[in-house]
Amino acid sequence: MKKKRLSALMLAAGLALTACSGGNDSAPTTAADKAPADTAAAGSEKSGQGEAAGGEAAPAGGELVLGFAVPLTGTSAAGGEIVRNGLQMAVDEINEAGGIDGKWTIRLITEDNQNDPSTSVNVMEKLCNQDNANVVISSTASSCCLADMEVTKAAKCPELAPASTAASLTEQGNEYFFRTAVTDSSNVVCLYDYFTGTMKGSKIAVLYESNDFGNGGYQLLQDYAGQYNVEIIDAQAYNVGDVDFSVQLTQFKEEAPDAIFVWGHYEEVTIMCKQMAQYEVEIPVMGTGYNSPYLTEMGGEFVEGIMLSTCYTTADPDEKVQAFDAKYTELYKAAYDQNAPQAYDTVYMIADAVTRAQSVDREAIQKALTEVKDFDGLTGVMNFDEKNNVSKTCKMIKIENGQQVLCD
Amino acid sequence: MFIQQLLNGLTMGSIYALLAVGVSMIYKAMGMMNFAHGDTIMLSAFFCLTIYSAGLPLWAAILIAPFISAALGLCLERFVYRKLEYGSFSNLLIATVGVSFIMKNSAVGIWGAQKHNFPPLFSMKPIHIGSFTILPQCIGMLAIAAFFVGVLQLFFYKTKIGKCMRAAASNAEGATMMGINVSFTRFLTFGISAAFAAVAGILMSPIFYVSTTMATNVATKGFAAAILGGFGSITGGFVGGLILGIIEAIGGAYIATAYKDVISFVVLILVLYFCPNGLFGKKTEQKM
Amino acid sequence: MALLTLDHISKTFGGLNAVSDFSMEIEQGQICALIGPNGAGKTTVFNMITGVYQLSGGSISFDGQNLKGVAPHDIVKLGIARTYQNIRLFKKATALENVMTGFHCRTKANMFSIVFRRKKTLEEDARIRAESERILDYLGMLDKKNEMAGSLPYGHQRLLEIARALATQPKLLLLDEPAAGMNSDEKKELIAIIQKIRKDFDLTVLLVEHDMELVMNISEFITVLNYGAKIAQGSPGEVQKNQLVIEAYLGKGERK
Repeated sequence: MKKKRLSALMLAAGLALTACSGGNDSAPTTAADKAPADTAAAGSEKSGQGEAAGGEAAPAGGELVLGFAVPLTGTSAAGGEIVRNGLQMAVDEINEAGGIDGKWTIRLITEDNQNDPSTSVNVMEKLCNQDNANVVISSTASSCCLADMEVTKAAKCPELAPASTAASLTEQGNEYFFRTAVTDSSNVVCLYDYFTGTMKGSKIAVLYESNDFGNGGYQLLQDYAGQYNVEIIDAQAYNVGDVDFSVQLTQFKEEAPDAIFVWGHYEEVTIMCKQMAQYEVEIPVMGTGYNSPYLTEMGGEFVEGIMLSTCYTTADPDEKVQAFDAKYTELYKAAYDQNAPQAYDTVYMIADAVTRAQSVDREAIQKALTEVKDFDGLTGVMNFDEKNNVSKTCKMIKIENGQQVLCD
Repeated sequence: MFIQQLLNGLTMGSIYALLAVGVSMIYKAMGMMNFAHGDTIMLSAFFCLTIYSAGLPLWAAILIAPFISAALGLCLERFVYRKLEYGSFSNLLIATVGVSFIMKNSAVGIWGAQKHNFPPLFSMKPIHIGSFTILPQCIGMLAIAAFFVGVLQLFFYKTKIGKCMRAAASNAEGATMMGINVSFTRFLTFGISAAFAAVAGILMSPIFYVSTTMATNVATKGFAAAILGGFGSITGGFVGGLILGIIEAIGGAYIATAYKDVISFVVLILVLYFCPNGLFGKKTEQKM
Repeated sequence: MALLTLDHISKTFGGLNAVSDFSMEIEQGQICALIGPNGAGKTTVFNMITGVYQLSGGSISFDGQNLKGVAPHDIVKLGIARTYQNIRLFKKATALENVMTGFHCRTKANMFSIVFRRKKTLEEDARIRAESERILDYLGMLDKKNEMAGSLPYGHQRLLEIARALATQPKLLLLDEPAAGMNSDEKKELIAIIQKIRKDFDLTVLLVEHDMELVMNISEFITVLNYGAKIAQGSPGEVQKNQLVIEAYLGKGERK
């Protein structure tokens, strides 16, 4: 009898631990998920020009080794591919034009981090210490960046994140880490401006992902609430991979806020919207994190009228934006979200820094990046603040007839 | 609000119930856990989606998919599991883990990492009972799960084949000496459980989106629900699933929605501590 | 014609000759024994008869039919039943249910009647239940019919195995160490039971046993195995006096 009890307890405890790991961005990775991706995925993909051997501070005939960590397999693979495409476009453009300042070709080394923090660490160690990258780009989940930036800090290698928005990333005192993704404070300001200004609302309920990204967003919403006279009447978290929001939504329906602020990704947001229709919860939804072509593709009629804040939209008439959109669509024949142009901008920022420093040395790149002044990219005019956060201006868009339109 | 949350819990609860019934059935007929069950569910959902996307009407896709799944299950038994000659129990368990890997990765290879929409099977309009809201899909899934519980109980306890399966699961050599073709019962079991997985997969698709990871988390909860209800008891699995769903909803509503997974497992551990055989497992006092 | 004929059978596992060139005949209605020291190959021979092992050489015929290529569960249907050295009951089922499974190999239920539970199937079930109770009663275990097989005392479990085997309506009953773990009273009962069932069920019995007193008391014909080969055969009296047999057992066969 005792033995049976013990083994039953152990089995249940084992299952509980699997559930606990679901607090990350990624869906709870059981052993089954990790192992095959290691062998089945391309493993390390070596694309780009140049020969073998790590070129650290390469002498004449130069080369910039650009390390790139991204999820290529697993639940975030779709998002990872978008970042990779944007990045690849920029790398190819620069190399075809003769390299950075005509002197350094970019050698891109891509590794799959499966959107898992511990895999990210391993991947980053390889890129920094084995491949001797001069600079690395890391994407996408904020949890992974928090983990792998320990490695880049120790290796004194500049790390840029074009797709991670958690506020905590730049609070770690790591001067080698630069965030080139729009920060959530920019998004919060944009959202609150619109909510209090145009919508004239005052009470909100918040639904956010239970990870660094969502928690950071919720924290910022609380920080800025007083300034805008907004009252947060309820806030509920959810785990990535959840498919049932009836608990939260039925509660919100009863509390009747003026809007529901969502900090999440399209996978869950589309389900949320569908359930809001099923439970007849007629409250406007706004927020960020779900700016993706899949939002309308998966959400269909249920995401009509949803609003969000973003730094990049094809509804923007700017000719640089339209040119990028045309080229991306032609090359990859697929839809994309703001992470692609952010990745594109990031590569060009690196190129700009190398040109100003006239060196591919890690320290030199890091210094040059801190001196970026009014870099004009696809996603706006950019500067780095003292915490290496990029500042951009965001826009509010709405989904109308399956298309993004600028909110007036 | 409490009652509403209770009703909310039935939505996920009916899914867990369906999975738990499948898991319990496999244990009843095979005496083991099939770790590839969740992936069979996922593959079946893809079969159905592919048939539907090819242009056939939805009802046709729903009818055909279980047969394809059953065929897959039968092939697995005949060409993979049987080759192991059922020598060691743990060999078989590990084999199902291996099959699970292969299924997951083949699916990614064939259909990609994308999520896919699936048309709803029940009306989208909610049903109002007094001041409470309940979704048609929830009632539909409960009804279907309950139906299958009834059918399976009948099958395992009243039909000759069902009894043979239980005998083979209890003691394979003993069953052989009773004239039961154990190979054949195992063969059938895999086919039937795969077809049942297809039913679960099809019902889950409108809610979960069809994707290669759609069943991963839920399968674990299904095992947990089966344990909660008493492993090997089909009715127990059904009730265990419902209870698990309700606990998640209540726990989420009154403690924190982000912790609802943890809450369910804590409850599972507590229940097992007091009833090691699960809520409905027979209290077998075996003479030592 | 003999009921069971083993014709120069042999079995090798890799490099090991478990059984070599073994021949034996059993007549209808006999109680025979197969004895030999541990590891002599007795259980291997049983497994070869019941189809669990494929023969490496020779042939076995039962009731005029060659058993080559017949699957174990089909051999049961031909009329050979067997009990095991270590008990193979369905521990979580009742005693009655265990016996009832034995009858199922004889029922004619096809798919439709199984699924739709027609009146005929119900009647058949009732008949099987009554027959099973009769067998339990015959062996003096009717009062235990609703107990879990796994919680019965060891001696009763062995009896239940025999009851279950009888339910398959065999012509030949193979008993693998039926007296193991029994005390001398139980063994006396066992002897009586075996003789009774041979008569009442029109059986032929072949048993493997280590208890020499039991073997000598009950068997009409004994075959002796050592290292997979036959070293002696004959009536109990003949075998006891055989020098080879005595050497093989190092004196174990002495009468007390």
